[in-house]
Amino acid sequence: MKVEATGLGKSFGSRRAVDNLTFTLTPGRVTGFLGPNGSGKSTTLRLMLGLDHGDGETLFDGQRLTEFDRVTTVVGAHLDAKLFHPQRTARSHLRMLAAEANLPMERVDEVIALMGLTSVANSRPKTFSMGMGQRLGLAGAILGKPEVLLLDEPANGLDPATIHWLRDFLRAYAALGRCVLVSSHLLSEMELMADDIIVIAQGRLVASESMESFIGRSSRNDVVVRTSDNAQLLAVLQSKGFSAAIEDTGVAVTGIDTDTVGHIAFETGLRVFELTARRASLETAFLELTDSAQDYQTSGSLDESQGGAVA
Amino acid sequence: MMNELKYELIRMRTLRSTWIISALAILQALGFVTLFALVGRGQNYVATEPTRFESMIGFILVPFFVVLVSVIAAQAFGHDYRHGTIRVTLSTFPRRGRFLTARAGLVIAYAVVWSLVTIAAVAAAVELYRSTTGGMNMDTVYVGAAKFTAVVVMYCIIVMSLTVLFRSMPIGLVAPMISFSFLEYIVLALTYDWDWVGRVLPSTNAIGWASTTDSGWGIEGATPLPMLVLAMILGAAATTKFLKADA
Repeated sequence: MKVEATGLGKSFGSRRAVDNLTFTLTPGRVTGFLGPNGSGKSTTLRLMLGLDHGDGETLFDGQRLTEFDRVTTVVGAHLDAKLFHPQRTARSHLRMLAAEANLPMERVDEVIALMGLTSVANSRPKTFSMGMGQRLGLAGAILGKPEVLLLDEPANGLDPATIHWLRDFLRAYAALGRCVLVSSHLLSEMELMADDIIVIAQGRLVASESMESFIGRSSRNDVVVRTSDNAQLLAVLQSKGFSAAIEDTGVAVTGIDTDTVGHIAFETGLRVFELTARRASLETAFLELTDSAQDYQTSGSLDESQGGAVA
Repeated sequence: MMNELKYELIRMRTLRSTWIISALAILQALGFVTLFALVGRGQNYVATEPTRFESMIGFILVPFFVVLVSVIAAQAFGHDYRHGTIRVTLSTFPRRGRFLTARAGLVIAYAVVWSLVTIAAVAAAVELYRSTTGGMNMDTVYVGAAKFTAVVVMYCIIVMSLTVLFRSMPIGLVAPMISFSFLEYIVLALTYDWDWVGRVLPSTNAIGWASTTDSGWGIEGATPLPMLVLAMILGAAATTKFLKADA
């Protein structure tokens, strides 16, 4: 099922929280949804689900969500780790959701087991930790085996083993030809999990592309070379129009591959001791793109604000 | 619509408070009947004629039963807003109009059924204590039960509507309670010479009407109309808000 969000927009008073967002979710791929705090990620998810009223529309295989009879089998959403009645047992919460699509009780027990909640299925969620709440929320989202999963920060509060499980699960889920949209602040996790990426800042679309091409655009993708005369190599590289600089261990060059650097060093008559391609991380690429678009900027380091007391 | 109703039934059934409040509503009514029967027996009172339904409304069914049943009405929407589960509910049922109809419909059905069950239980208890009550005057029960049930339903609609409008269960429950239990009496007292004021007070009129005798509440020709109009206005406003506002 293809998901097309077109011209999504939402204002809160004079503040434009989401501004003309257009993107597509491709079946079979996990899409990471990134943005600084307050950039409008959660509002976008709510707009997609029709929870908030705003501009634009989201179509699921060309249809609005309100046109489907069994929504639970179309979209599964998990927006918060604490969205259940504290006095209603986990099993009853899921039974209630299962009623929307007439799902059998066996399916409820199946997702309870899948999420490792069997021992607490008859407990009231008021005693649940955040991680347990996330599992219950996820259980609700996948209950109807929906074609589309929309998850808002699903890894928050999960232990490392469960995060690992979640990553594998979502990748396997997408591999079945379904769409998965995951918003998260855990960039290292997202880098391992997502195939595509949507980045927004101050409510506007910054990037919507594959993870590979997004990271590939970063200026931090470079080659580090250590030779018998780094200064001479630097001069040669700069004379050829490459952006290069001396670093601790050698010369860092951007816009070039390792083979070309090796050839230039060889032609210059230098011995090469080290030649490494450095790939920017998602975090580096993300910060580079969104640095100027932070709504809630921090200032200074802890050392500075504490008068160096922490050092 | 069936799936919405099924969802709502499970929602109501799986909350312990639904059962506790329902039990309290019927038990308090039975408790009052028993108490009055025992007091009558202690004073060697012998009834000369059967108990009329309207004589029980003021102290057995109103206000405790009405307020307890309205808690169920307030919870229907109030829990969703208090715990944020409105987002789960409306992402599961994006057709808000259909869902609202199912939820409000089930609450009203509950109010009707529980009112009738309670009235039947009260009538049975009155029959049981025949020596002091003189039994139940069944002629008054049918009309009285229908009228009383209508008042309960209107009250529940008002409570539900206020809960949705203010997204707050306490406001939904407390505002009508204070208004109907205190403010209307104060207004009546302050405007003693102005007859027309008494004729537009919702609760005073509705209870007077349900009591079947016109004299019980100091207003002749009491009608349920003011309460019905109030319930309809608040219901329309709450429906608009539920359909249009962000979850």
